[in-house]
Amino acid sequence: MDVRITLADWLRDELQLTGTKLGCEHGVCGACTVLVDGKAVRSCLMLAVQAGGRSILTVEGLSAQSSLNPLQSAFQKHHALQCGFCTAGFLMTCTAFLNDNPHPTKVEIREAISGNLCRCTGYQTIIEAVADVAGHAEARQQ
Amino acid sequence: MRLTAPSVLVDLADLSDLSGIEVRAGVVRIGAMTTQAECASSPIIRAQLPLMHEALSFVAHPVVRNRGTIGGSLAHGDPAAEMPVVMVALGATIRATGPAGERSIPAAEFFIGPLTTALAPGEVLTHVDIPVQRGTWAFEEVSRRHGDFALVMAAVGLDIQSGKIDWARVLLGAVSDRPVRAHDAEAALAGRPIDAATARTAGDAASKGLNPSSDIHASGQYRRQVAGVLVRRAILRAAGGTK
Amino acid sequence: MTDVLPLITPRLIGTSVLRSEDPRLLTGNGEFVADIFLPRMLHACVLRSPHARAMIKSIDTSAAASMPGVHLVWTGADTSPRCTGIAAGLDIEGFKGTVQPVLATTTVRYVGEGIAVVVADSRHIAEDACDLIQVDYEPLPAVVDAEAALAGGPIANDTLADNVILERAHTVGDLDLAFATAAVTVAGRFVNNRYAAAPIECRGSIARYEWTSNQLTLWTATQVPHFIRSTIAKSMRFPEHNLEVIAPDVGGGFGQKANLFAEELLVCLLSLELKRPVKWIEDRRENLMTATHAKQQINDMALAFDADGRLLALRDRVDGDGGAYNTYPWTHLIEAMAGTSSITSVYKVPALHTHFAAIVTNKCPVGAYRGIGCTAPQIAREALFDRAGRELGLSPFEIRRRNVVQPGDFPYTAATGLVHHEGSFLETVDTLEKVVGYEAFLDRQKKARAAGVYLGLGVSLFSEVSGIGTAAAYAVGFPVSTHDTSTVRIEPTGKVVVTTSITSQGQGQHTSLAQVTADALGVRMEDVVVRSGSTSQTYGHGTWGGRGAVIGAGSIMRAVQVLREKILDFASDMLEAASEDLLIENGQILVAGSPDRSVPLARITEEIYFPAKAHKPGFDPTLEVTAAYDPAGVVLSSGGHAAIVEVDSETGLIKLEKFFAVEDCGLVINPMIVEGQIRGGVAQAIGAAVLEDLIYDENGQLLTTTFMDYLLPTSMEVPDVDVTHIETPSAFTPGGIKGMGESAMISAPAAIVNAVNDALSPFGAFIQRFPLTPDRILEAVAGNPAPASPAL
Repeated sequence: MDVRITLADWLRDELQLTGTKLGCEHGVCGACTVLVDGKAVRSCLMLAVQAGGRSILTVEGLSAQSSLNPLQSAFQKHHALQCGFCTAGFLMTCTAFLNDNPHPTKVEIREAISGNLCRCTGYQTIIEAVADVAGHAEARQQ
Repeated sequence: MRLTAPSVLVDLADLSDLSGIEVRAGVVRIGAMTTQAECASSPIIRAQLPLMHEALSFVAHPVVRNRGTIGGSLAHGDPAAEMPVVMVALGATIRATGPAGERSIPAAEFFIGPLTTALAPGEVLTHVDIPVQRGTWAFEEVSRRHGDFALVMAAVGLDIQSGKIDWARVLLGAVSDRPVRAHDAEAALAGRPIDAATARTAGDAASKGLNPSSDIHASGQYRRQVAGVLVRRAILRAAGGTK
Repeated sequence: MTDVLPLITPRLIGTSVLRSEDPRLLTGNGEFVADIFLPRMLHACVLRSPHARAMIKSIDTSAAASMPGVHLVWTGADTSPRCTGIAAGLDIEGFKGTVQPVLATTTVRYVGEGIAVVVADSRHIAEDACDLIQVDYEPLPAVVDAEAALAGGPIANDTLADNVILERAHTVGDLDLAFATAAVTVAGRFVNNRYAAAPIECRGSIARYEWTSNQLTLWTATQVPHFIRSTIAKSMRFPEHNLEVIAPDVGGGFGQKANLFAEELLVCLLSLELKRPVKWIEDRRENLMTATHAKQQINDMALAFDADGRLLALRDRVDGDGGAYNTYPWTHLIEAMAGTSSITSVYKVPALHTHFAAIVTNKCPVGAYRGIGCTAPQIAREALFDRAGRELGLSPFEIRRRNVVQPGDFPYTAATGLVHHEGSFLETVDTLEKVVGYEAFLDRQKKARAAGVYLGLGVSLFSEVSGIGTAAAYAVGFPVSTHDTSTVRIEPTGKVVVTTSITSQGQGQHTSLAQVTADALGVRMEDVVVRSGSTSQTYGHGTWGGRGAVIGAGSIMRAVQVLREKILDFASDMLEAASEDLLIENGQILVAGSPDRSVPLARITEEIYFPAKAHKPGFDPTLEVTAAYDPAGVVLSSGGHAAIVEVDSETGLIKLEKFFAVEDCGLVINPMIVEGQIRGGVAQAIGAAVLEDLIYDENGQLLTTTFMDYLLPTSMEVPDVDVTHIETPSAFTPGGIKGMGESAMISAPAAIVNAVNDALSPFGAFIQRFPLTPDRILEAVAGNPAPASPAL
């Protein structure tokens, strides 16, 4: 493997796992977010060789073969995506976030997704989707 | 972005000796490869270095903090980054090792220009030693958006004894090519009772004499003016609580 | 074309049906251009000009060409004989067209203009090779300031005689008299920022030429595949029937992907040359430098009111900074002209004078971006309404209430020439005032101010030219005709396939148009599929200008109308009932009033496809109808926005606390999707008003080429948006549907600006320079020298 290849390029070009998107390639937009050993990271800011021996989870690994997982379903139910280009990044960020904080407030959700850019939705419905899947009364109402 | 084209890159991620947080004899030692996220969730840092804990919430976004390391953010030496200001504020010592052996560099002497530090070629930042925080602190920052590099930031530490300021430390960031200690503001605070007038006087003193540069996000005049505002706010908040 | 209005009974229409697009996009199974990998595909990288204006003295590509893995290096000398480029003109007297070459030949005219292209085995190699190309430039003085360019000096685009694409005035009524007799006159010179749609997916194109069949296929991230095909066919002299343009999943467009780009021509030329697929994927820096900018205008505006706060006259002079070339099809006029042609909006304006100049500079060409042309003049007009209201002692709601076209006024012909057939403008003002809780807000504002906290409320009303077809294009000054079709086919099993020219960049038309189809035909949602995005299907102009719902639904309903009649005629024999007594519901053909007599649609279609014996002579069994639709008039949606902000008067930071939208887009097909369009538009509006600025220095260098410098709003900057629907059906569209989606980028920035002015009213703030940076807020607090005179 060419050492300079980023994790994002390697996932997309070599493994053809194209669910991970590139929106800026300088670590701002968050579209390329994947989980490395359970932690959300920007795959455009990490070299593929640095992922050696680690566990990588991309959007392709979120759902079983024929059904959406609860977070994905909540995104559909709340219209938390439009063009879908930033969506994988949000799903991965929120997956890690909910693992660490299963019962967040809406304020915490808002902060948690602040490193991911979406140009379509205005974020409100993404926050509502995460709050819904967290199933926490406080998160839903606050 | 094709800004640099290094011929060799060395990944330090697997050097476990360079990672971790421990407290010993009144000093918190943080390994260079400890991530900002690990620092932000560390009970040691929360308890012993509340200023650093507070400032970490201004460092980019959670996902960036998962990869960003404390050593990286210090060695990078960005004048608009939070950690250099915190290290100078808390009187930290940077530990580096290289072909000539190990050495210690006080944080106040470590940052010597924009994206420039006292690290010599071939030297690696290994640890930072931070004395357990004295007094109560507050950190204030303005940025265009949440998580952006600061337009201006201020860190203020106060030790108040019998209603008077016994000791004060005032640091500013993003107003120069390196963290700036506001000695005039500290002098304006020393021995004074804590009140709005004192805070305002110290804020004005901090602002005076600054000559920040302008960029597309804020003018130098803005940075100078707002530096005083943030120092004033930080003083009042540091005096008012445990943060 | 719309004389016959198909009847429709809304069943699914009006409900928030979940989007059929979503499961694919949520699982990483979407297919965007960058996700397409073809066998033997090569990768292109474009070398771009570092100068705003310069002569190209020489280019040495030899080192790049000899690099291993490089297949071809081209410059303008290679592309210009093959294709002259993007010839953009409009059939308007005095309009100056431009030709943007595929790659620059002798002169570069903005930073980022393509100079050379490398095609290599990988993108990495292509980028490395670009670094090896030596270009010798002779830099020339850059034309950066539009007003100076209008006055004279160096010519930004040397193919033109001066720096003006078109300058035109429009006058109705006696302006001098109105201003002379006005009780209150307010004026300002509003300098608006240049910004960009910045979809999260950058541009990208793949061309594949296959010589044995002379077939060229272009996958491109576009809103307008048919337009791209027709234009490429003409400009490259390539047979149109052998060219297929495919818009796969597109990651946001907002207007930026609704014109022809040089790179689309370039990859086609490269694939024709190399006989291999060639892929070009734009990076963010290129996107911010070259993928069209938008919105930069100066509006010098004055409003005259009588003592009761009724508007007497509006004057506006627009100087639009359109960059180095005309984009195609929009041209510079997408900003400079489009705003003035609808400037009176929902208000009665007895006397109107507009004057616009479309000015050429050495900057990235200006293209369409949501709310084309309207954003800047809307800020000017709405800010001046508030200023007049303050002088007259009228609330922002009251001064607007007194000036909107009233319910008894319809049809109302505005001074711009636009006709309002119907509207809910008064109801909009009343609704907005109620949802924001104005009285309670005033109380809260007063208490907050006493504590040194500055809250502000800003209001803005809008009218949105939507469902844009030929009539609307002409009405706003563009002599452009459109043509759109949809095909509806009922399959042997009664399932329905719709293909339409309406493309999707995230608006969910495959869902909303399926709702329309299901209701129009009387079948279940799950029995309909909608497809679009390829020129191999029906013909049309794609999605922009709030046209997806109106034109998609219009053409589908017209096609369904024909199919319904055929089905019912056929069923009338089977059911022995008159066809006018039959209806279709849930895929069943029913006899009205006789619930026991019914037959499944699938039975009928099976009989039609596979009859037991030959059909009656003269019966045409085709169950596939293609129909066109082009609205007979200008479809005007309307509504209003209100923002509540808190401004830190010491740091200049603005916090959006809450946002309110009242939207009247006629019959709503899918409320969830409509609200999503509004919320997303509001987020963009916050960027436009507060954060986003494409800044050129005095040499024409763009200083904002990353997402660290060009600031899109994050979740922390965008508040929740409260949406209220009003439904006033259009008089002449099928179902009464009106278009929507642009409104927040027409009007929400003005609401934000007004809210900030209101928050800082104790300081006399009246901000006229945007975006609302912390610096500008502190300047306003320090005492803004607002002009008080009406001089224009």
